[in-house]
Amino acid sequence: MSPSAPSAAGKTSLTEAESELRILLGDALLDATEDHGQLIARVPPDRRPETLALLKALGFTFYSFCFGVDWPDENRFEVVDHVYSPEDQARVTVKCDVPRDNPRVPTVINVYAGADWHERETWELFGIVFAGHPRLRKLLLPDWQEGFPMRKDYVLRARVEKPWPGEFFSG
Amino acid sequence: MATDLETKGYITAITERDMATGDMVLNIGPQHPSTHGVLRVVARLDGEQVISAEPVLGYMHRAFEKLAEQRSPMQNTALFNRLDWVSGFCNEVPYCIACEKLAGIEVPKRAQVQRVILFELTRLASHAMFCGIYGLELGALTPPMYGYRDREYALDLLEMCTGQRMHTNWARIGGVKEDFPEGFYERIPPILEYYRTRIEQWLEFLIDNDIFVKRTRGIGVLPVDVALDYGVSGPNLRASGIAVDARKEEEYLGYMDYEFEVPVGNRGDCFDRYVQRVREMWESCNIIEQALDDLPPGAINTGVGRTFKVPAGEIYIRADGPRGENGYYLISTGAKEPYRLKIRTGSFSNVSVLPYLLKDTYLPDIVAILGSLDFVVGDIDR
Repeated sequence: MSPSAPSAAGKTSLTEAESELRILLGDALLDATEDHGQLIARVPPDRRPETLALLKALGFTFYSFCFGVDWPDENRFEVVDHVYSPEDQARVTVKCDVPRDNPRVPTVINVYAGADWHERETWELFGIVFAGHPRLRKLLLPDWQEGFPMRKDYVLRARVEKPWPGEFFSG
Repeated sequence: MATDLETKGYITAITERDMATGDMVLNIGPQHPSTHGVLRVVARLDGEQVISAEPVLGYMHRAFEKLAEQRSPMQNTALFNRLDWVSGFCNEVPYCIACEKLAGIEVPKRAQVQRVILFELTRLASHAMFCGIYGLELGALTPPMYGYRDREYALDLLEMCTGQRMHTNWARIGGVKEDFPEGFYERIPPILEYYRTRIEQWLEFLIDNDIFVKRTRGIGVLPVDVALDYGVSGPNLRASGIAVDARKEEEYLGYMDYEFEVPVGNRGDCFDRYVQRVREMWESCNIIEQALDDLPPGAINTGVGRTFKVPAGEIYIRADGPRGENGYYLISTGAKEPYRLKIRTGSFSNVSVLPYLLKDTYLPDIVAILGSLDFVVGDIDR
């Protein structure tokens, strides 16, 4: 592949990507907003592999990362994928909501091979199951670790045993 | 006493067992000099050939993402230079930019330029160390002496400015901690000049060495599409032949104003990855020189107090660090701590491509490939 030519893209290609997604996904594109230089697209969890495959075909070939966000008040987890297009120099974030009591989302390991470790990390930290992932086992945490540390109800023990001494930010 | 026949049979049995090339599992690390920390690679070997290899992570997992949720935005910068201790300053800056962009803080030009200078000095230090260490990885004992010596010149400057060689903790939300100390500005150009001569020597030093070339040319070839798929970034990705550089693509620190080239490799093997870093050191010198000319007078901090709160919103900021794309996805609800902070580090994705790279290579190549990715375990495990 030849080195990509520097272009003042970004803005235009994001709107292009948005309209392409709108055409290809139809009603499945629940929401699409442009914010701080990135397009945030929200899709149902079962459409996650399809959306990312579409984005990859649109030139978003660089798989940046995937992570989870816990929203206990709204009883949901967010699974966030971030992809980048080296040619258009545009960034797209794909989000899907999964219920907190049954967090399941299909894996995208067949679309982006690099999703492997990111999904394993998200699984062990949040307990979000990536259906179809062939090696869903602990990556960073030890095998004996119980619970899902990045969930909001998992307390940081150091903070419980010893209060933070700061004047402004105690607790 | 065994008869001749029995002895013979016994010896045959031993030889057969020893010569058989069945699968053998070899553990490399966690305590191994080539792993820059505590990474473990479990390699399945057939004779000398690697059938499969899998990195085992987590020996250094410090849960920075969880800790960041319990700390105020200001306290967090002290955490992030511990991510990748070889280039601490490069990890603080993108986080500060993320907070600033969300809060709409305009950073003074002088602070921006000072950040660029320190950022690139850190890159020089990091790459100089890589050049030395990579020689060691391939069995040359002299290069690390030179590598560590060269690195100290940049680290001396960082120490003079920040008081710390590695964990600088110098970037603040809204600028930098203090202005350059007296005499600092004048000390940079001679050191850049020194680096330029050294860069030429680095190129001759190992590239003209037959053993080095034979051990790295064509070893660990990483095609562009695989690299992109795995999210490999930074010098490792550019060595594969695609010019992806956040400094040219994102508007941060005013990198758009500087003239510099993005070197690109063409084969994506270990040799290219080495040359890539040497060439990037040259460009770093160019950037620092321009930044020195560019340094305007004025404030270096906007004086954001320590009760600073990040307004609600979300943002992803990425920067091109020595180890690749270093980014922070910050989700804030307007509370005193960040609601969620995803740390995207270069090393994590770079190392995730190891099973692909190590497959069907030979045992001595493992260390050559590991070293060429230039990872830091603190950066992988976070």
